[in-house]
Amino acid sequence: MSCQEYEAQIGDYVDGAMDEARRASFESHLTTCASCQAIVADFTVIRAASLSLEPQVPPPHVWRKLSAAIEAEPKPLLGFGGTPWWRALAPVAAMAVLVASLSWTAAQLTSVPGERVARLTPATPTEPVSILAEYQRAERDLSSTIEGLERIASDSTALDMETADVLKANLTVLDGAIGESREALKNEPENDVAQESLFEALRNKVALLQDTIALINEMRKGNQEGAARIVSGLNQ
Amino acid sequence: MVTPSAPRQPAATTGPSNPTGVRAVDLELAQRCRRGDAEAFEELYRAHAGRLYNLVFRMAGSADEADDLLQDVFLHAHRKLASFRGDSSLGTWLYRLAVNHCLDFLRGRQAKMTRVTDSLDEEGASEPAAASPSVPTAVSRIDLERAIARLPDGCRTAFVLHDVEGFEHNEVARLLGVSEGTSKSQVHKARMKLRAMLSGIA
Repeated sequence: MSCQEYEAQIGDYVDGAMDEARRASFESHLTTCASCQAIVADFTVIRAASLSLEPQVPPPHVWRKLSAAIEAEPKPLLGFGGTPWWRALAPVAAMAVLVASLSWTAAQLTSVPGERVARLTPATPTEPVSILAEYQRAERDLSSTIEGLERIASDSTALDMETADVLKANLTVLDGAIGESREALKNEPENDVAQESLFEALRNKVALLQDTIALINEMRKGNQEGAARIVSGLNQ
Repeated sequence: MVTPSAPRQPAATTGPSNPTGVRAVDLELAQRCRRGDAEAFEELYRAHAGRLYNLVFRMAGSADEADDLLQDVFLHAHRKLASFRGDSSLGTWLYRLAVNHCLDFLRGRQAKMTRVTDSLDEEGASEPAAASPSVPTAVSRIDLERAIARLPDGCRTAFVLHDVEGFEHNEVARLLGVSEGTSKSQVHKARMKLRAMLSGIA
């Protein structure tokens, strides 16, 4: 093998990438070749120095410019502190249901027959009947509103599947609360706590559907800012 | 006689002791970034910017270009995070992104130059061996950085990945899309040029 051929193998030798036979042959050549010895020595110095080069530190202005550039990028639809709006709604819905359920349960545990009516009817004994009628009328109105909203919101193709699924889950939670309240009112039509629970859940459902429709509209228009504003409103 | 140094395990391909756990963390961080969590993206930047800056700084050969490249790499990553599936670690994913971005940049820069120094896939001829240059055993890091910056783009890229970043030739070849033989010859070419520069010959 010529010196030039050995020279082409210096890299493998310096990198420790030779098997025993090649290495023995190469080292045998080295004993007689000052030129290859010099290259091996220099390559070894270069390699060692290269491996121990000081790390370069990115200057602070890179992050400043990068964060400004990212700020200017189109935003994903977000809600509470970086959480997608539909995930943010989950605790809201859950909390509404929880509060309603707890207050209703607490009232069941602490109230005695007659007190509820007394609280609702401070003036005359006929008032509970008219209040009940008002509640029933209001409930019909709300339910009718909900039906209309549900028809519009059911076309949620503007939302991605995951978002639509979570939205549906939130609505299911609210529907569960509405169903429980109605069930309780079947047994006790004048139970004001159950009525409050029912109205709370209905109002939450109306608000959720209205926001959903508004979001669908904004998403269809491709208006991320408008959608973000709606989400921001949900925060307040 | 000089004893060759043992090959170094490249950091970018060093597997974590518990890859599944680490990838779960990566996936969670990527998911937070995708949701637009600014703190998560800053976390991602702080964790990887140093390593990527080392790469782009030496591949580009200048601080100004490295600053722009690092910014571009992370901006590109921000847009592409939806495609991160956790097949590799987030660090490896970002590293490949940075290498590809640097190569695009170097190709663009080369295309703009009327004088083409060399090609990434060129079987570059070795520098003729200088008579007996001798690199100082205590080579100054500043001199070495300057010399690396003066290398032609093609051989500098292979050299940085192999000798500075510690990749094996087969890994350099994969990253650059060239043959292993080309990687070896480019690194050899770079070392010969550096040898000449550091010995005060070039």
